[in-house]
Amino acid sequence: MVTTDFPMIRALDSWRQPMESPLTRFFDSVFEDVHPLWSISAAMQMPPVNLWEEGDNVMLECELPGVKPDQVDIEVSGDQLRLSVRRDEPGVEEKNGGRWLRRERSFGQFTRTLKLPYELDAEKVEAKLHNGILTLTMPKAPHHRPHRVKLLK
Amino acid sequence: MNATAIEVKKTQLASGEKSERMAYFEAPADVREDNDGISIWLDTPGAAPESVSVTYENGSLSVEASVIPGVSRPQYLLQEYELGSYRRNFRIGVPVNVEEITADLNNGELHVRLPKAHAAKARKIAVRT
Repeated sequence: MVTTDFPMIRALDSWRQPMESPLTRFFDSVFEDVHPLWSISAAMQMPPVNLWEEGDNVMLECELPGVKPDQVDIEVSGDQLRLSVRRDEPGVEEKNGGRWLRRERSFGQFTRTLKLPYELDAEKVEAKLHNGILTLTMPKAPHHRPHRVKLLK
Repeated sequence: MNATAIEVKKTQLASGEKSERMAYFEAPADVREDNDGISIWLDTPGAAPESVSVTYENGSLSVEASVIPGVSRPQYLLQEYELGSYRRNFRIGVPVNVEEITADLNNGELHVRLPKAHAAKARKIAVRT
């Protein structure tokens, strides 16, 4: 999976523009070869996750600002969690003299697979997206939960 | 879509409202200017609409968004980000129509629109012959 850091692209862009020499032209040509890789808008910076245990559940939170519920795809299998997310840029009108003054956020698609410390009860996994935070409540598989034994009277 | 309009306050927050223990993060922003105004988008995941404060004063736009953590801090198996609030200031270089500034929060994404004051708008001047 390719991850993209858009601020770096801008920094390199502004760095190369003022210079003009055969050497920079060489770097330019190298840069042009590399540039398509960086400009893949399909690669968004990997959103960070937090993972913890809460009783019989494994909890996951992931920061997904600007993402709508139908742009998130979650698959659970055994102890593997696969998270696919697409984030679209806000629609802007190209006319009316519009120009970007700053671009720090990233957009596009990413897929991430996490191996969890427990197998999960896949049918009972619940997902919630609220204020740009994805929260997964993932019950552990029954054989990972403590079994309480009743004392005989 | 649950767009929520946020009241734009024109005065600074009382400093006593800020939590001492919380970390503040710089929310990443996109800024776009057109003939009619300036649009600023900020990522503020985890911030509820009522916790967002947008203040414009003397050509300066301040945005603060609080994230309130849960009661107990869990023992993380994996921690890739810390919880904290967001703060960001922008110097707006053109006169804006303060009364018409709007702010909307949608899925953890804040959009602030600052319409330019009439005098600041680009005008095409016809040359008379």
